[in-house]
Amino acid sequence: MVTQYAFFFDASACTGCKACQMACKDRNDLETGLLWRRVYEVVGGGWEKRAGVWVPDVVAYNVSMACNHCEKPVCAWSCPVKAIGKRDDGIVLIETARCIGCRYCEWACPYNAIRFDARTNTVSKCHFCFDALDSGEPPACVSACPLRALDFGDLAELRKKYGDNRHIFPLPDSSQADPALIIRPHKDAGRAAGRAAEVANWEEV
Amino acid sequence: MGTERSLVAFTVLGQLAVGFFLFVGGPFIFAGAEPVSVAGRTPVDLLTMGTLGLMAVAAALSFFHLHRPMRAYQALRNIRASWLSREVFFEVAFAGLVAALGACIQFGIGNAAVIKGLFVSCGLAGILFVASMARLYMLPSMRAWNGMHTPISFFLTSLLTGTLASLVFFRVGGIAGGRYLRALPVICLGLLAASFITAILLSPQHGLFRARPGPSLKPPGRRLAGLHAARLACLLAGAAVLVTAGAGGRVAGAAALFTFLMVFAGETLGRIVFYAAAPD
Repeated sequence: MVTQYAFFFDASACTGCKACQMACKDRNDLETGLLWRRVYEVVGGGWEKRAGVWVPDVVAYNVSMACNHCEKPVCAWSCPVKAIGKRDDGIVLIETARCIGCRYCEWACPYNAIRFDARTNTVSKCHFCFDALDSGEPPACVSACPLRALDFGDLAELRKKYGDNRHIFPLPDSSQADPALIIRPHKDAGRAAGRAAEVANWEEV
Repeated sequence: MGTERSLVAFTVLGQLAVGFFLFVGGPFIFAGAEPVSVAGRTPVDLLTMGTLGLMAVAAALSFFHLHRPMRAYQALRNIRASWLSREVFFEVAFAGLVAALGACIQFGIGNAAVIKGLFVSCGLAGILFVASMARLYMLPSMRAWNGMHTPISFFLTSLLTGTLASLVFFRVGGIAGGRYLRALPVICLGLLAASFITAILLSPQHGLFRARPGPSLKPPGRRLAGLHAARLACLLAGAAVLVTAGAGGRVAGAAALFTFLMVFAGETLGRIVFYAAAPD
């Protein structure tokens, strides 16, 4: 029995095609501007002089991110009306009918995963396609990825399969919420902070 | 910005209400300030009515940041975990206790000890209201807010606007406040200096020792350098008038009122700068 569903993201395989983002948007019929899964384009670096020769030293990779259905769901703890809860299988869900639209959970979430939905005047986020999971289907983002850069499953099983790395620049410290997320980093990720890398597509995400 | 406008008004007015209650009420309850009548009402009546009026306006404005305000009655459901629930609890407790104090005084219920006990309970609830208001913004996910600046600036707003409101209240009402009233301008100047220094050193996005942005999936907040400068100018203008008026030996009501308005505007601008540090 699954006790904590989790996502796996392989940054070394992701090309930034955004098929995951679009599949999520399509399946959940999200409004223009509302994204539950987003692909951040991380870029940095420049030219560097080595042994008298100018060589490019750039950092460029993508990070696909949705709600990480955290083991410590700080969004649920912050919600004054208990509109956010965690299922037995670890999926964090928003009860829209109870949400008062204070948007405090948006500030509390370290992954910027909670988004305001102007149609319902409440907050919304990835629900792990729980209805698909309950009928044995994978989440839309996972099945849409052409590079198999996304996977899902029980957190303990994913750890056995892929290891236990939860961090890649520019994610915040994972101790803030213990995300149910495993990441295979891109080869550039270790140099990203040192090369002043930053998210290049804030307008999009 | 957007819905944060209502939060700016709610936090500044809520903090003013607590400061007003403590610094206007304290001298009457504990120091035996002369309870002369002002416009046909006693100062203690005016204290409770003023505090409740400020709290009512603050609470009403706070509803404008809710997108589903009709469901707000459930806001205490998560009091065990949510600082927002706790803030609402202390807000209601403070207003309720002040109303009870007003009723006791109005209808002559309870002796002096009961009134003092109620006043202390109100003050405690008010302080916890401001503390929970500050604590709820101290989120690890919001680096700009998760530091000492948030509680220091929230309490300074309460103390500074409260003491200045007290000065205006005593001066405009022509109430003799004894040593307390003589010390008030000096206290106000000290708090003004503390607020100015805090803004220079710690203000989000502008302070010399502000929290620096780290790795984050949240877009960077906005820098409102013009508003930050205007805030500092308001505080300086307030301080200049207070010093000039105080040099004559007694701060007149008009000077006290001008200083209060300048400081209130400054603290409001400071709060706008504070909320601008959050991602849109």
